[in-house]
Amino acid sequence: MSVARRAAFVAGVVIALIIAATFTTTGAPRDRAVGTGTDVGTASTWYCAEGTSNPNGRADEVIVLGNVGTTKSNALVTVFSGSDAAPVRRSVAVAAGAVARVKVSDIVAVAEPGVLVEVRGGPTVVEHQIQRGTDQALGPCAREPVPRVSFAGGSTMKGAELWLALFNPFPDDAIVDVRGVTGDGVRAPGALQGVVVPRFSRLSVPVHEAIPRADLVAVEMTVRRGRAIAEQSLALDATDGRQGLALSEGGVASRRWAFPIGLTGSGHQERLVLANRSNRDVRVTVRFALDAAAAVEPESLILPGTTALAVDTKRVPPDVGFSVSIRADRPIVAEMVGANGAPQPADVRGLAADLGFSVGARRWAVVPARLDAGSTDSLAIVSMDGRPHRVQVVRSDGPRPRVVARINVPATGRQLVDLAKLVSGVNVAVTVRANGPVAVERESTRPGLTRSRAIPG
Amino acid sequence: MDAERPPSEPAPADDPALDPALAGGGDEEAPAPVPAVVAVVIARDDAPHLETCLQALGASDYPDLTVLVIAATEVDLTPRVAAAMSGAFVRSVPPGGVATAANEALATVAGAPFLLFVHSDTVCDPRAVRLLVEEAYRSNAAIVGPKVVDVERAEILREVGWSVDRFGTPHSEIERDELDQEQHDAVRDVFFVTDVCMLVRADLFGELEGFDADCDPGARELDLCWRARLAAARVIVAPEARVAHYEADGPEEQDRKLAARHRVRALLTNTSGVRLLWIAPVAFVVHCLEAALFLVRRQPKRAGELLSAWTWNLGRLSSLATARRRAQGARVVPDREIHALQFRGSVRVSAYVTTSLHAEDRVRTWSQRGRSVAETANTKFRSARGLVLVAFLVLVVIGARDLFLGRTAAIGQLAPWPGVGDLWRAFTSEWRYADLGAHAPAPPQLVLAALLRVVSLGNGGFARTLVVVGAVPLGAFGAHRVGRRVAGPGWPSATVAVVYGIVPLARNAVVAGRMGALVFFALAPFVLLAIAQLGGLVPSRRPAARVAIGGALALAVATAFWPLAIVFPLVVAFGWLAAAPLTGDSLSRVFKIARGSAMMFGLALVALFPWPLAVLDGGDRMGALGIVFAPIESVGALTRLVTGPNGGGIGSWAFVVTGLAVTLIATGERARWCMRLWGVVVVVWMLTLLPNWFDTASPAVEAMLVPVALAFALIAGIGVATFLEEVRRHGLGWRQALSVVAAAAVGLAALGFVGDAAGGRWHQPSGDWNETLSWTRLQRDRGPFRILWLGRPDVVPGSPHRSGADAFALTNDGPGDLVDQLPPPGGAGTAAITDAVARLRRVATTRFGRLVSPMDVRYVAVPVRPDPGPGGATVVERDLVGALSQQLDLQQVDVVQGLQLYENTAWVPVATARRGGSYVWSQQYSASWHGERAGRTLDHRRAFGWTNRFVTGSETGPVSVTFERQWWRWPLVLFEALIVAALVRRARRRRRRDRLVRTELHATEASA
Repeated sequence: MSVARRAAFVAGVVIALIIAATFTTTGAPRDRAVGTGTDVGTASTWYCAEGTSNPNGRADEVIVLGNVGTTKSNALVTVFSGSDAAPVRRSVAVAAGAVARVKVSDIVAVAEPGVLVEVRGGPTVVEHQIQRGTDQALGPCAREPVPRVSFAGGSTMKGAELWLALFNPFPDDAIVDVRGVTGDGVRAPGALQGVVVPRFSRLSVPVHEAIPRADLVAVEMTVRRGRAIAEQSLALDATDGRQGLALSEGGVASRRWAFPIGLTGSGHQERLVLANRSNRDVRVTVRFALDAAAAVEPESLILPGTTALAVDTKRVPPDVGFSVSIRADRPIVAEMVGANGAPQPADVRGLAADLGFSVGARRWAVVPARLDAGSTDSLAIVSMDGRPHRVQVVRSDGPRPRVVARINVPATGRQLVDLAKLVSGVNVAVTVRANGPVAVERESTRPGLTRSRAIPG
Repeated sequence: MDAERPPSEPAPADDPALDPALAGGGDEEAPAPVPAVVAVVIARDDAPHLETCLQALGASDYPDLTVLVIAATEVDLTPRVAAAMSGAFVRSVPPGGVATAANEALATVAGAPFLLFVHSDTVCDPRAVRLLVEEAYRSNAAIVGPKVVDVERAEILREVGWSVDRFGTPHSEIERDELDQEQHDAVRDVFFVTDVCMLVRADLFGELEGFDADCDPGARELDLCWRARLAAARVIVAPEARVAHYEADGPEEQDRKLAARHRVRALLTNTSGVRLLWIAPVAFVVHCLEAALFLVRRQPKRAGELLSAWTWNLGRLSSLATARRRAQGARVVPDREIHALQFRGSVRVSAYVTTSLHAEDRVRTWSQRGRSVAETANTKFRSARGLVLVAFLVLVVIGARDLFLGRTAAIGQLAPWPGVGDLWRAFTSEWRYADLGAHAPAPPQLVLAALLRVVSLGNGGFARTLVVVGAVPLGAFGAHRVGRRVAGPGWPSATVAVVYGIVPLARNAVVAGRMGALVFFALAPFVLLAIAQLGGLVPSRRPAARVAIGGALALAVATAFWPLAIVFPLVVAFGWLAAAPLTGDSLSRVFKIARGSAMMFGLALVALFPWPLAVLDGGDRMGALGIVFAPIESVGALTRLVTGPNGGGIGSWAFVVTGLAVTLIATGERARWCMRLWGVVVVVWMLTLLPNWFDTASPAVEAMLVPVALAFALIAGIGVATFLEEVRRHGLGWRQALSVVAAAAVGLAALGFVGDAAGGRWHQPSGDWNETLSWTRLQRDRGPFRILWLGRPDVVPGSPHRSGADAFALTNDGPGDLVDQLPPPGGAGTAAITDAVARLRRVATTRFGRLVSPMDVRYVAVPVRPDPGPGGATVVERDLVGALSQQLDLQQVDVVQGLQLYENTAWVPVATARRGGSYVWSQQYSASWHGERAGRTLDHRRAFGWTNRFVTGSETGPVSVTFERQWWRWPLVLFEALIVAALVRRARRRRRRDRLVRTELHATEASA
């Protein structure tokens, strides 16, 4: 065997290795089975923390189950009321495309009910509605426990009640720490540190008592041990001109936020609260996109460390709807608290809080499509990637899904959908399908003011 | 002469030579009376030594000895008796056995306290009778035997009493032709003495109704003495009394067939009923195994003799019952006291070891060989290459010192080894309890581990460490052997050994806990050598069959630990076939290589039979074959053979650089060898990279790359041979320059090896999850349970399955041991748990605990790293932990850093494991499972699509579950043993023949 042939072979080996290296993936093995935890599949579990079911409770709770699929689903609603009490369960069947409502007090009347909903069958989303007198609020139940939950739009000024509901449906006790980021820095009362949430129980923390007289309180709950779900409700009694009940499920800090709904003037108020829980200052840019053919210069500001502040929305022209997008160079929490007051009619006055969107999705569930037979319900849709998208609104209550509206969402700004024109019945669920990542928020008025985020999935 | 007249009263002791002690004083006083002894001489056939026997008795110094000759022959012996001993009596009986003849004494002799049974070919020492009687009184013995020596050479011992094992097989402490050096001269209890010369108390003999004629020949003395023992009589040997024996009795004395039957009869007669319940089956199994061995040794007659012993006795049950009644009726002593006098274990096994295996000769041979090796080593190790090899071995010891002195962590597949009994039970169980159970044969790995544990005197940890640490030197030794044939002796083979030893694969296999890779690393050189010899590429002094069997057995052992090792011969053959256009190997040679490889492949499969059949079952075959790990990370790792923390740095490029350089400088046959080896390298590289390209799971890369390491080591050896013989003779040129480059590269790699040795553990962690979770074993009191391990395949201990990016493994009743390794592919159960894990990963359930509770999963463990300690979770663990944190029936348990442990609150203890009037048996469904409650068979159904449910109704109480096809395993185990024994025997027979041929050759050469 000649040297030349062997040299050619050696060269061939070297070349083959180089070629092989280009086709070989280096590093960690690829993960082909990563779950998002957000899909509403054939089985899902929902945790509804806030609400009461006892007579004269602070927030009478109704569970709202919306089946956005074409097959019926069965839900098991379990109400936990403490480690020592046996949970009470009730099965609920939800027809395809329909919405079912379950009043928690019909299952069991307790002061601290934690509601767990386990769904099998067609894709079903779960929201819960709380009511206090004539004020009401609606919001999705949580999908999973997270080790840290942040809120931004709280207040403990005179006439405000800020409640943090902590729910632990798991078999081990949880220990959590609660602190509030205010306009003056962080306040972490000793009573809110090392709070034990016993297993299979719900605990209500009156933040307004622990951190009193703070105009801005961005509550943050950190799980020290175990698992827990947190939800916040804010009740205002018109002392500061706002009245109503708001519900917020909280979220995690993000560099990017979007708020599809905003309106000021003529009794409409919007309070955009930013909270920075880190010790470092954060540069934030707030952009307003108006429904009118006009523009508002973006607002840049420095959000100091461990501080909460309210963004000035006065630069937005009155009575012009708008959406807001926020960019920050470090993760922050943002929440919009809207209120309708005088001179608006009494039946549309109210309070609503909304944490905003940090990620988009192509598919959203809106449950229920109509809050009430006489309500005015609308959807606001914004693009989350700066590109225009085509969107369909689909009803699933028939034998097969029906597209009831086709709209285009601009790259900036929002698109509104009047649900009252598309859906006549009350207990109907709709889905929004887009060809790109969008964010969908629903606003309902009459009675009161209610805003809630649509549910991805 | 008083023929036909029985002796009666003892004769007066008027012999002047009478011992004063017996006589009782001086001449003045009348001698004290001594107990009369009647010597019963059994004369059969023509009794050629009768006269000698009688004359010796006549010369006895015992004062009251009467001789009675029982003539069990058709010849009239009276004249001969009269001529030899005038005072002797003669009683003629029909010809027959010794027992029948001896039993004539029962009717013939009366009044004498002692009977002395003597064969007619026995020559008693004059003092023998007196010494026997004295010892009988002194030791209060009922039966006394003398020391029996050879007639012609009195210094040769024949008998000094016998022991017996629990199965009735006699055992003598003396060896054949053992010299009498007074080493056995102490008076001692024995189990029985021979009736060549036996002094028996007459009353006991009468009470026992004499010898059992149905135990004659072969076991009459054994039976008599055994019955005497049962009656609380002592049986001793008095070696001071000597008799000589001609051993001229009839041929039936040597009849093994009858002896075997009669020993079994003695065993069945004299063992108590309770003990017989287990002794008889065990004895039968031992005899069956012995018969199997004889069959393998081509001695079917002896096998038939052993088995017919049982059938013969089964045909005489009524006679046996009568004998039992008689023996047990006289019983005073319990069997546990009898057993104290018996030989522990099996006499036959001991005899086989010491005789059939020629243990003594072997020890002698080994000793001689050892001396020879020591002398050779002394010479060789004083050479430079000897010093290099010694330095390498020293570095191996230094590098693994903590593993020896401390503990080998149970990481990956290095699970702890349970006790020998547990391993044996797991191997002989028809049902595999690993994973969720399966009706599948157990892996031979279990029996190999049990053998290693026995060799290490039961220390499982040491045995495991021995395998782990011994892989490197054993692999280097094998590489040295194959290097001698391929590269040449001396420096080339030493280079092959050292280069193979310093390749980081084995060290990284220790770190990752790849037991299979280590065993394959150790044995691959032997297999490769066998392939080369079978293919005619290297010369062999041994016949092809022996080479094939040896290689196949090595391959089988490697396969037992790493199943994919079985294809190694095929891969090598394919590599050499692919290289044939470059090497110029002819088609016939390629065919020969392929045939040899196929032969080894087939033989190894046969040796492992029936375990390979387990893979044919449905289920996760990839998991069963160990194809679950992450693919190799990069081409760099592939070419450098670096798969872990060992061997890093520039030195790791040495192997491929050397391989390429030597390919260029080698010439002739060496160049052809380089190309053949490169053929193997390229094929293995391709196979290793395929999982990466196709994004699939891979076998353990440490094992996959072993052929590459061996090829590079051989190429390095070829390089040295080329340099020594060709390159250095010429002037400076590119060949010399490349040689220097290759040598420098190997030197750098050696430095890396030295660096890795510094830590003392080859970077293996010192802790493991097995130790951390050892407390879980104590949780067994609430019922059987399993731990479900989830995570990346490289950190999940044991033999994991794959579910997407995750791996999972199940261990029984704790963190697992070797019994949980290499589980069968499974089936519906494995599919169910794979689906449950996939649902968990998609967060499609928040009741994962409930999903896996039918699998008895009580704990879910997610290790972030292979051992306890701080470590960052990858995306796999983060997602898993995120999904697990959403589970409503999992309670987190604080353990230690690096592991998330959850307790399943949906797990139900077995005591309450009833679901709707049912008992769930958490093994995979099989129709052969049988459940009973209070003796009533329970209705058996399939539950959850994969497991067993027994309908109990409203009744309570324990449920007994058995696998009805366990009986099938025993013949299968026997069959497996026969296969291996046949292969070993064939190899040994060849070896003996070779040795003889070599000896003859040497002799011829010497004479020439």
